[in-house]
Amino acid sequence: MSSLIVQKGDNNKHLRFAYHNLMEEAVSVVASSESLDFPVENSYDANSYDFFKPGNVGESYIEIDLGVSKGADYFAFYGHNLHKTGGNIKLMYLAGDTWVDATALISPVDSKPKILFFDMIYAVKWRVIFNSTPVVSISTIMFGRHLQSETGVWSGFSSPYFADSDKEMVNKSEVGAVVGSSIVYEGISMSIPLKYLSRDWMYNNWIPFKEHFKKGKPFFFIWHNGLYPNEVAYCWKDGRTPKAKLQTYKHMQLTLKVRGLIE
Amino acid sequence: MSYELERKKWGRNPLQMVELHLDYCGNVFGDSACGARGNQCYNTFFTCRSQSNFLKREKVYKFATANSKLPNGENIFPRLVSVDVVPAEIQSKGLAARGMVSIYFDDFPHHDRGTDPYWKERQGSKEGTFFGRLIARNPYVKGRKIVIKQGFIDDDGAFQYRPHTYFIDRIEPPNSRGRVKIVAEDILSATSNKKAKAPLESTGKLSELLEIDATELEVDDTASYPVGGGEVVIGGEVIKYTSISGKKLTGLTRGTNRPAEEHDEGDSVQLVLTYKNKNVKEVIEDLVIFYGGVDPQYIDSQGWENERVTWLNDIKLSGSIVKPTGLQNILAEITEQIGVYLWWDDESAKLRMKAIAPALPTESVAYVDDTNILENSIKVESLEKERLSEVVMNYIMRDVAEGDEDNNFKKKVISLNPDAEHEFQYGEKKNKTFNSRFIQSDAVADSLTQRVLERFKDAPLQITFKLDASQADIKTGDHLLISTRLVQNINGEAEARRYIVMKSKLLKDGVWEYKALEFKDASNGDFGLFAENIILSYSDESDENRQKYAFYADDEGLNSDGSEGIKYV
Repeated sequence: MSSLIVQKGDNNKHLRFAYHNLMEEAVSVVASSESLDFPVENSYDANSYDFFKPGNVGESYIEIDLGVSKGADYFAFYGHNLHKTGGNIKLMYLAGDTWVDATALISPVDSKPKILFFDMIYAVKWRVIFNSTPVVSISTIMFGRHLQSETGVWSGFSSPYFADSDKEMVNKSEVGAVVGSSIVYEGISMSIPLKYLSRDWMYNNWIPFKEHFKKGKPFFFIWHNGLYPNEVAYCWKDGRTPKAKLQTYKHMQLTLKVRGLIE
Repeated sequence: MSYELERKKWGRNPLQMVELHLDYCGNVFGDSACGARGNQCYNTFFTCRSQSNFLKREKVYKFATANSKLPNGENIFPRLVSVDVVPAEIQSKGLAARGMVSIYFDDFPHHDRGTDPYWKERQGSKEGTFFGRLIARNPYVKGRKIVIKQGFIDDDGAFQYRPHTYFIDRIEPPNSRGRVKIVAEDILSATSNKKAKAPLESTGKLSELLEIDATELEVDDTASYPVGGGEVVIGGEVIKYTSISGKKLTGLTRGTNRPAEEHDEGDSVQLVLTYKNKNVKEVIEDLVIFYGGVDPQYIDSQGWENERVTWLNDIKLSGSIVKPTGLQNILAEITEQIGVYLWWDDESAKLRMKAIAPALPTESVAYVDDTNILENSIKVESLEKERLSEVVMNYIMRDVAEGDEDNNFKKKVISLNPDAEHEFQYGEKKNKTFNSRFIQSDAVADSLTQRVLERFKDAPLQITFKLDASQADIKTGDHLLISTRLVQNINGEAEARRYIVMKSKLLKDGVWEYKALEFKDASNGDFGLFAENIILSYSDESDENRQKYAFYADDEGLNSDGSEGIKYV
């Protein structure tokens, strides 16, 4: 029998999914400059294998014009080289005639996916600012409204850092000695159980998320923002989209099977 | 970081990457250098709207196997499914079996950014798939380079690899499951009998009767004949000419192989390929580059020269090829008779040539035994079919226009091992006969037959085995010593024997597979080179030179330090 580990209402411990990306809803997304074959569109197409590179070192930016004011409460990015260049990144928005920081300046120390949460901000124009020498390359940028489940995790869940899905090989010689080993890093594989979710939550939240999930489009996932704010995974569905089932008269449940990247 | 360091690390992270090098125009559509108008092209020759201005450059498309640590900042498509390499394999006869590679990809939807240079301006919806479009835009891929990079991702995320170069034969369109196959070959495919012949087919015909005593001949087309003179064959008669004047080949020497004859108008006039007193390197280079069309950048010219100087200096080739003959057959004939290996080294991207000879005293020879051979990977076979007790060489052709039948040669040399045929040994004769149109020297013919007999007087062992990448320091063509419990001496101890690596293949995930053939010669691996005049006596020389050169021993056959001296064989 499953046991509830995290109680309802303790929202810093609730599962968080960041799949809504305002960059996809923009009237225009324009970079201050671009390198040939590395256009700005690569930064918000959800692919982790193509990259945006500005055409110059130092400060550069991507400006997102939404046409109308829309709200965001998270900023996430993945697949960058800022930890090697010593560069930094932040999200800004235009308030009146002034560009204002939505996040603090972030100087990543590793290549792991990053997500930052902030109080909801509404704006028409946004900017992602980079400062990097040599030039930054980045595969994925997202910001928008994130989704929180009504509960935390359940027993049996392997969090991203414990869900390795690597292929490991050890070679032995004719006389039985170990002579070498290889690891093919294939990311992570997780089952995310969602339980005791109210029917209202399911209708209002899971159905729109399901449309995204079903397409195999990636999203950011963090299981415990309070204790482990850096344990972020960039995930996508593994297999078919699960059917949600009634768990009690008032509650529903489902389990998301996902693959993901954590570095 | 380097490949050498990464392959030896515990928990190394293997990766396979494939690079397609396809033609790509260096112009920008519509600019003055291009001059095209209308719908934009894709900067490929097939889609070009101004082909006379196509500026040939190269675009590299990169694919990799699934790996969560792919290098950052490069457009690498993680859609490579597998790479199935059948590497070049040296044959005991000389010319290698050609290497071939089949590469499988999963096709995928793609936004065309980075592939279509004009994607921002191009109107209309973007349909189709990556490979579907790539194939349609690039139908001319034959012979273009494909590089397979095998290696490991280091801790900094950089890919440390060894490249393996092949040339595209074809790209097969996606199947119903979206699987795409690319087939590529090594450079020796250019010398296949279907693709290349030597001499080239001549187009000229006699434009008038050629009388028996004529000193010039007229052809309808002189394009096939060198202006500075050469030899042609008409109806079996080889005729030498010294120059061309108008449509006439002049300064004829008639019937160099047989009595002159009269020839009719319309008879074909075929240029004869003749080598006179050429060394092995010169002949093979000419065949491969001129007749095979192999780009000289892919020839290991210095390595060939080193082999020639060290092992093949006394061999000169003279002979004629009268009828256009498949190049592969000619190369096989020469390499087998002279005793050289010729193979494509996909790692250095060079066609390599190596004399079938023992390792030089200065050459380091790798040692492999059961402590590094991977478990359950070793297999030992005795190649009885290769064993010989008699080697015959027929040489110096009577009539070059006749075939290479035994009776068309003036001379013959036989090397025999009667002991092997005795009932106490194998009790049977096993013969190998070479008919050589290029060897003219008695001494060379004698030496070559003896070498072959020495190598194959007993059935050689062939060993296949695998090594972990951390231990894999050997390559095709290398000499090595193998000691395994599967090959024992009379006391039951593992016996180290000398082998030559005939094939090396990197399987994925950091394991190498090898095939090696036992190597025997008269020296049994213990020999020295003739020394230069400046070399001192044995006791005064350096260890390096003691190892390298032969020294006079005392009456008991011992060197001054008591070690066994080298025998002259």
